[in-house]
Amino acid sequence: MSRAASVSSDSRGTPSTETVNDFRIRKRVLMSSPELAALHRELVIAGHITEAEFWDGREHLLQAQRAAESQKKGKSGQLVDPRPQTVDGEVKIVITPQLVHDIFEEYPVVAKAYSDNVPNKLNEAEFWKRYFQSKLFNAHRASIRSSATQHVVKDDPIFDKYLEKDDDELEPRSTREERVDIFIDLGATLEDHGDTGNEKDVTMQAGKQRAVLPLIRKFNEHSGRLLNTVLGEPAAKRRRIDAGTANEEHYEQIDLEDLHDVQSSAGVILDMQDRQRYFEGRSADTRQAAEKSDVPAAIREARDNAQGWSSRLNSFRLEKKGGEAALLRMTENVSARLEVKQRKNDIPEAILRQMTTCQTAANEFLRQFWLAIYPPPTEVVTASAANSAQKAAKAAKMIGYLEKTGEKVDAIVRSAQADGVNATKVQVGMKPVVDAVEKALSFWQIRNASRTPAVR
Amino acid sequence: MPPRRINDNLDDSDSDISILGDVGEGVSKGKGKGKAIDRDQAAKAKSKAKEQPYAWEASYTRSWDTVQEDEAGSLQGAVEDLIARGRRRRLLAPAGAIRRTIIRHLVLILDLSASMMDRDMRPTRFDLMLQYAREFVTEWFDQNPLGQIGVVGMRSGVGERVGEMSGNPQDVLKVIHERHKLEPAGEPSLQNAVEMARSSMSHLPTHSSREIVVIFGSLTTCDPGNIHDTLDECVKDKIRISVVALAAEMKICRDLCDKTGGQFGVAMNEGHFKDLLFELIPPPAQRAVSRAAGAGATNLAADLMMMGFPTRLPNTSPPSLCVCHSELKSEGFLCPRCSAKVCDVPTDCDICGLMIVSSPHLARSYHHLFPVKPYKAVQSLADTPNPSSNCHGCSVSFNEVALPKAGSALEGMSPLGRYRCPDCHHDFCADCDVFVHDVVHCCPGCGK
Repeated sequence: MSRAASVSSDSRGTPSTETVNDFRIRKRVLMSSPELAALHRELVIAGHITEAEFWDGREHLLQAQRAAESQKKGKSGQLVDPRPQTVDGEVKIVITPQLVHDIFEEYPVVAKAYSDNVPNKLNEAEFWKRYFQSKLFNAHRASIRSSATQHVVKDDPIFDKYLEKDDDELEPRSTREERVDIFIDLGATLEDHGDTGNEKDVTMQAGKQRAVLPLIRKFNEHSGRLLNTVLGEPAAKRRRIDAGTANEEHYEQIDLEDLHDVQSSAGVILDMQDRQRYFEGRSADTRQAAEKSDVPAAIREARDNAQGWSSRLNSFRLEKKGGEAALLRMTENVSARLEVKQRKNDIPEAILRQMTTCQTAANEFLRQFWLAIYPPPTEVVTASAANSAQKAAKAAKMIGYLEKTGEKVDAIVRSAQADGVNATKVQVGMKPVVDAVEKALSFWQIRNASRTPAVR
Repeated sequence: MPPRRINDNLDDSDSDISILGDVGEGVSKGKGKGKAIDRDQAAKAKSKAKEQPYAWEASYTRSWDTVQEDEAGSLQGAVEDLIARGRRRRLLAPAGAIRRTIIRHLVLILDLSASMMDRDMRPTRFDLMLQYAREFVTEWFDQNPLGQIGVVGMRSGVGERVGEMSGNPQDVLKVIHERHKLEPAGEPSLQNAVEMARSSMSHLPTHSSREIVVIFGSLTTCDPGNIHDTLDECVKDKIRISVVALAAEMKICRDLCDKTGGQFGVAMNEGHFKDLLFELIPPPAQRAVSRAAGAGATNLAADLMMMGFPTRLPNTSPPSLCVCHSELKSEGFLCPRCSAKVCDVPTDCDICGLMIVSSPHLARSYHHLFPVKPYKAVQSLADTPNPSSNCHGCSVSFNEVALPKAGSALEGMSPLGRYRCPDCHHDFCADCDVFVHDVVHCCPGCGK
């Protein structure tokens, strides 16, 4: 048993209403994610948070696991047809339990033979060896082409008892019971145009190739069986009540969707409040009054200004200070970035792990706290007094834990200092967590102060 | 496709002989017929130009056939034809501002069954699908920064959760890139994959759209139960399923798309496959409620959503632990509500559950909600009092004389090369038209 399972089973001292399934799924989720398992171990086992609270915000993980496990495979559309492969002159077939199950489902005769003979007369390996060499297996193949292993087929005293006559008579051995819908019943009008028209194509002449008949009927049976497992047995024929509804039904059936024109539905018009204000703000500055510019005067002015340009250019000097200040700022920026990149993470593993565990624990408390304060939008808002009181109690409990976080961080910093690591780095590293805790605490204080001013 | 509708007032355009024999009527009928013939020819020419060969039909592809030189030996005409085709497609899209869901959750279901190793699309359908899926994901996150994508694979009769729902494009791309884990085998099961996708989206809030895109390359599906039940569940959960089929149309795929309001397409060749896939990138329009309870009142009330704008910590700040990975990192974002440090936005804060977005992400989705009105092609300068001689966008001069365009009817194209904005009535050249509508999303004349 995995460690997570044994540890978590110890914690269930209190009786819970979870079913065995839930427990198994939770175990699987924890096994698949080691960080989650560590968090679970630390918080739930130590008793800070109950199991239910831990999984409160994480239902989607459980559901995903449940969905992934509960899938079933459908039955394949292909007939079960194990093909022996010739390896080194020897004929081999791999027999898996799945294959055995499929063969029994497809050919109940084999199942009967199995139950009759094993383990009295033959053992398992012998059974399969002789089955694949018998005429029974040859009759069950999904191909009428004579394969190379045809010659290996031997008479077999046990299996030949189960041989049935080939299904190649005029009517199939198992006839379909259901009535065919009148719109797709080809047989209804089969006799109407016998004398006119062309002869049917060779592929459409029923029963022309007698050897193919058993195979085709096997395919039909297989398909029928597939549909029956999924859709249930075909319903008994429904009597028509009166002609009126029958006509409507029939019209619906021939009203094919392909005959309708493509209809494009217009979308819902976007309804925005103060839409003009949005556009106004952006384009206000671009809509300046276009001044009537006096072109000749402007040209004259430009020409006058351009007189004596060469002498003025000689005496042109640039201010140094502005450029130097900009360059200095840029250099500082680049050096700061380089420093960050070159900075090595020299906090030792042990301290780092302590930091991370403390941080994840604090984060979990914070998460529970905020979950109690702001319930997620998917929860139905039940403003019952019990619910809100529960949430208030939970929030208060979390606040209690969060207050202790400050001490824990200090403890880590002190131990880091003892190890000779730079204490400020550790402190700075934990700063976001500390800030978040502070924020939560102050939020709680403000809320409490405003809510219950009379309580002392 | 529905059969092409024959125009109502030419109801015996088939018959050559006019039974009534009236001269006047015959003449008018002839004129009508003439117009019909012209239109038919034009339509046929149009359809020939649009016709792309099926990939499986080509025993050898003559890719040079699609581009034809005209008599002068230039490819100008072929290029303009391609642009015209694009314009026609754009004119069909709604040009007004309609409601769209910007916050999207999409599950991409990839067919990983044995039929994907078919080589009718080069190199194999599987490789091509992975390549286009990569491009799709990149483009999708570009256009929908507030969205999340998850990946599910259909293999050996079950649905496999290949990638979790994530808003980070790198995560999704990494999952698609691991080719060895996605080797196709077995038969696909549409029901299992859709069920798995549905269960992974069940916990999402109602204001975001839930979509499934299936790339389906097989002709069968091997399901444990009745897939119509799954379809009903999806309709109830308001999940929109779209299918891009690579083999042929299956009725169940079309039903899935029609009943849930998605798009269905069968890819004819590689280019068409990519087009179909990329059609699903713009945010979907919310369907108009045709059976309105009140008198046309919008009973789709729009709720307000809470979002937070984070403060950014530049990468010169001292390293500290982040909430999502518990790693010491320098750069990050602080949640405004609980001041937890997260690595990447947009995301949902792990601690307090607030949706954190940065304003450029929201702004990137604006052009879907407020699209630029399509420019009208100017056919003649007869009703323009003072036509400008240069394009308002790039100042390239227009042709004075209308170029004769014989043969193919270029509906969307202007013979003068002018395209006019319906709001500010400035004229633009064809290049500016394409540029404004595809890249800039803002008309230079209107300033909006």
